[in-house]
Amino acid sequence: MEENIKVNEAATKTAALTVKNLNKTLGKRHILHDINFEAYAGEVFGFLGPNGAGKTTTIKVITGLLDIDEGSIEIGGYNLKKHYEKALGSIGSIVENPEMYKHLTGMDNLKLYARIRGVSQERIDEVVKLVGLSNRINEKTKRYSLGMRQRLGVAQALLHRPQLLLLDEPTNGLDPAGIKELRDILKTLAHEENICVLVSSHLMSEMELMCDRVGIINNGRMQGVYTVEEMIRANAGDSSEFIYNVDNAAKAAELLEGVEYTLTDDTHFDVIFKVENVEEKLAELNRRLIENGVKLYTVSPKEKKKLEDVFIEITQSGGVQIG
Amino acid sequence: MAKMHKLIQNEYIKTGKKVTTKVIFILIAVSVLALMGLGKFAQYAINENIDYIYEDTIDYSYEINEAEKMQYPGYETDIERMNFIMDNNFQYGSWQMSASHEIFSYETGEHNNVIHTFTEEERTEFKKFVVDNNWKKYCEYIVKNGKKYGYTDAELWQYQYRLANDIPLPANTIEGFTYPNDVIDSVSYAKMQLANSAEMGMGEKNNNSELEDQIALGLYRLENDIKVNVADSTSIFVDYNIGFWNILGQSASLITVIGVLIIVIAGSTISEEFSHGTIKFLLINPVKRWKILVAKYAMCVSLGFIMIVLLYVLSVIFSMIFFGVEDIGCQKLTISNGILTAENGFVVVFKNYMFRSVQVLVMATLAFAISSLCKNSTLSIGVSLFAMLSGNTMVSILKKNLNIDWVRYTVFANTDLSAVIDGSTGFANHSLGFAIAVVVIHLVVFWLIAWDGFTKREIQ
Repeated sequence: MEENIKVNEAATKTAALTVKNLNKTLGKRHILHDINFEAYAGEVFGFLGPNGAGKTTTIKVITGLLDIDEGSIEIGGYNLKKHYEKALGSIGSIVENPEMYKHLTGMDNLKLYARIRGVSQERIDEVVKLVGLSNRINEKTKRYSLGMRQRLGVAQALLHRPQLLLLDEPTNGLDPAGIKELRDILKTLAHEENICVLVSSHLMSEMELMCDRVGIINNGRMQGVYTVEEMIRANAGDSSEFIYNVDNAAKAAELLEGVEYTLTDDTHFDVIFKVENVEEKLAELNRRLIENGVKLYTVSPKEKKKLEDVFIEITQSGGVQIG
Repeated sequence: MAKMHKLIQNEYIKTGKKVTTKVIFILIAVSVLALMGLGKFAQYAINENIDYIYEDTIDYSYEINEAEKMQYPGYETDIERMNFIMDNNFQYGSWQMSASHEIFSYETGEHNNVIHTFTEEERTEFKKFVVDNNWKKYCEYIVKNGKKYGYTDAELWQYQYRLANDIPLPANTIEGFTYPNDVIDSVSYAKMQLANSAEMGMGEKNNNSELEDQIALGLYRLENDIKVNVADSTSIFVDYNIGFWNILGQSASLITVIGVLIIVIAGSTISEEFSHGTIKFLLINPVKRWKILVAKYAMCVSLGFIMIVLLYVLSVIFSMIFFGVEDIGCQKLTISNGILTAENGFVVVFKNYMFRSVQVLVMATLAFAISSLCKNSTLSIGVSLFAMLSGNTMVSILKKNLNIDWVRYTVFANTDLSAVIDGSTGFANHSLGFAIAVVVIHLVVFWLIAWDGFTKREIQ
């Protein structure tokens, strides 16, 4: 069933970025091993991994800063190797820190870009306003804070209305309000303007709030691509856990034949259902408890795991080894 | 191509808005002004000096005293001469001064080892011309009696010529060094040389034709009253008469300053993108890398050219301000095998600029290549500056002192195209084609290095 849904989803979406069997060696280190994924127009795709996992390397290969050793990359239908300029033309990106020419003003920096990509002055002003830099845009960027440079970087990436927006750790240096603003901007771009936004981060909480799908990379290997819900469910397996609050846990335990449970204290126990039809089973268990005179105060599902925990579990299973 | 133009525009903005670049342009203006100021000062100092030395009355009292003490043979004549000069207030460098030597030479008139004893009559007559400042009579006298006194035909020519064309003998040193006397001197000298070599029977054909050319050119200038030949006005430190063309010609030496500046720009344009981290910002543009490299190189070369043109324009303007505009119509006259060519002076000077800029181009390209390969400004600027400033010297040491001929294949031996054309590089059979080939090969090699460094390297 789930498989079917996935296929249908994929069929209705156009791939803005397709990475196939990407391998990359820098010096003697084999950094990327057979990276495969697709990112679609209209979604925010999170590229998640611990430091040194290969996120930036992947983004550098996609933006043409590094050569492709093996495999292929298609951007908006253009093969990066064969149609370098066309493929890059539909990308807007920030790679690592947004380094600007410090002796130029923010506006001059943007104009360097606009000139090559044929962007009008109106569009520049529009984007500057969007990232909230209108008041400081004519200052030299050496006076910008990291957050302001980050905003300018985003502006630069958005100038030419790219089909694929690649942002490497875009929330670096932004204050909480700025992060929220950026998050809203990115969501709007993806969901309303049908742009594919790819955001890399090692901040899992960020990803959870921003992304539709998340690709997890560790030690240069793609661990999997999930929707946020999928990830949480996948990690929890098919089982569901519930907390029972009763007057006498010991007495209730005697009635729990065929059910996996853990006593936590005198009045609480946890129950884990591993099979389907969880609701039915819950009803059956509740009925049994009540019929046998156990006072059932509350039954509550155990709190869902955060993406952060899932992420750590996924990546730790592969071991976190930087280097 | 449209994109290329915009890439170059971007490079100009990035470089142009740097403080360094603005300082560079100021430096060029300052160096032009400094050169002009120096030239003006030299002109002033020379004139002052000449005035100081030659306008004062000549005072031989010390020499006369010495002569009386020592009483060497013929000292009486010497004293008589010195008194004669002092009594008549002759200036240094005047024809009277040299004529006085003629009259009072060691008891007798002596010329070219032909000893002729002046009779007292002759001497009196001679003295009269001199005292009356009658150069014509003096010339006529020499023309008439010169043979007797040992003058050769070649020597007599200038007296005949002066008489025929009414050109007085120089009244002081400055006149002696200026037109038309300088030209008459050079023709006269060439004629004497030619006569000598004919007499000795060892005249080389080449040398003779050069002398004949020199004579023909001098006569051409005298006939057409061409006061300044741009070809002579190359240095400000030789001529007594520093003028517009000396100073403008000398301004070409400031190209070395531009060389230094453009090496700084070419050596840092790539490496600074790396050290400032902006290389990523640059390379994520949807443009192939080689185009960015070409844009950067085009920026450096065209900026260098703009600087040279600026230097030229400033030099012309300041030369006009400091040295006046009377000479601006002058031409460069050269003669070869009897064929005279005249070139506009401004074109000549600009050509010289272009010849000199070959070395700048080569060294800037070297800086560009090292910068692209090593991503290090200091290294690329250092190596290229060293090469530019010492390369020629090293080549000439290796060739002239150690006689190592293969240094002709190095770029330093070939960048001075004007020397190659003149044949003054010191290498036998040094053709222009060879020099250009060596320069082009070096440029291509530097370019390949830059290309490889920029397009193949990965941005980590």
